[in-house]
Amino acid sequence: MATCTVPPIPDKDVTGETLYGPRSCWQAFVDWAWSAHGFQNAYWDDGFGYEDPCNTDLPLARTFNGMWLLNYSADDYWNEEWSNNILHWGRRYVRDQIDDLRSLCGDGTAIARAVAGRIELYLGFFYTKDCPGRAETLVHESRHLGGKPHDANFPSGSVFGAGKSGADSTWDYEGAWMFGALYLWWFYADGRRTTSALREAARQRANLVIDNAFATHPGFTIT
Amino acid sequence: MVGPEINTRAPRVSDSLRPGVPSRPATAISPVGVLVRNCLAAMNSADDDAEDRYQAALGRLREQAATAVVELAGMERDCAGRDYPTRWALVHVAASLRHPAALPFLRNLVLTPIPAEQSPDSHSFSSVAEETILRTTAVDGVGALAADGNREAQEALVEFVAQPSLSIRRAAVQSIMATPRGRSRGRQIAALLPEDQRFLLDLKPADVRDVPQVARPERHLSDTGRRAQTVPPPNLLGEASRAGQPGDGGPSVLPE
Repeated sequence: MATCTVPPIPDKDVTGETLYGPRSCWQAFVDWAWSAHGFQNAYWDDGFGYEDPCNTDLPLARTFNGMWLLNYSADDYWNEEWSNNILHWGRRYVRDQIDDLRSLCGDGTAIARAVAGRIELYLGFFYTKDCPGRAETLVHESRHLGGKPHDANFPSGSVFGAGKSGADSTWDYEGAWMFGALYLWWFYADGRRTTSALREAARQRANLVIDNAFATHPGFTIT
Repeated sequence: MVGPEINTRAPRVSDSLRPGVPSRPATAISPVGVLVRNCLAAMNSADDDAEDRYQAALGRLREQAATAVVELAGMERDCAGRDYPTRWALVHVAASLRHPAALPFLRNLVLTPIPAEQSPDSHSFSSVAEETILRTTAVDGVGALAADGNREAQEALVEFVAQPSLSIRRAAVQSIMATPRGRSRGRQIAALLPEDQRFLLDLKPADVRDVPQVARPERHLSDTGRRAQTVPPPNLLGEASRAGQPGDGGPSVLPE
């Protein structure tokens, strides 16, 4: 058990809290999201937001904001057939995969990890990621729960540390980096009920992943 | 609004989160600072008229671009170093101005060496990655000026190719290739790139619809996931009829 402190909170317009906060502060959504993603109540109280689920200063509401985006950003969001694109089925994949979701302090910079069948979210997830970034993280970590570890070392020049483990070998490996980048890319290309700024931020992040997280560059770029 | 219903209370096993120090109230803000804040608000709105308001806000900043860029640079400098979302938004506004007055700020940002990694686990969080995204956004802003025929911007892009970052190089190469005579400069650019990164010249700008997707993603569910059979979220208010899902009936609970 650790005790940590809410870090300085980025501008809420910029991270999407101003936009998504009022949307996710909806009892039906809150009840559904809590149940569908296996929120473990022992891990979301004591300052993490259980007592105040609409307070976007706190981790729980900021997680709900990312989940709202994940669930409603396709024009026809209700069409979540696996044969559709990840903007549609990403939400289904995430909620099917996660049945134990916990919030923890972490080391102050850590974002998230999938471990022993659960997903742990840390302060970095809540306070350094914008709403699309949180959705991407849930997709990425859910892929790990699907039994797909990273299988390669980061390439020369990678921001994640050339030669270190943690990369995916190729795009076709269909690993966590591919899932995350593909989600961001679709959000950029066809995301609805959002802003052009958040879509552009998603494009920049997806390009970063494409450039740096595959041992063999996929060979394309998002313009 | 109340919290989600819970049935049991487990023994305390989790961490505790304490409130942070309240941010200081904003000090006096300059008139152009007000314009910047209005632009950030418009940029992050999803109202029907958001794009019009954002373009109007950009237009007002453009009318006093030199002052606006000084303000943007000052705000970016004053941000907490790890407040990457706000820093990114400020760089994005500067890039979106598409005004020559923004060039020194954008160029300087790209050429500023990226600080050493601050994170012990860069797979989880990477300060180098965040700093890189700031710079690729700046490169794209310079690229837009170059595409408009700005000679200084075109020269700056060539400078950027020499930066020791794969993503900065990629963004610079893409921007050079998008300029009117960019394609003819392939040999010159290749000479600036390390041999193992010359593939950047061959990258294809792609539409997401044209790249490999995840084939039958349900294959990638865990055993637990396959058994989950979770229910979809409630439909949004006012969109139930569009959904056309018999039995769903749209939201049954009104927002509180």
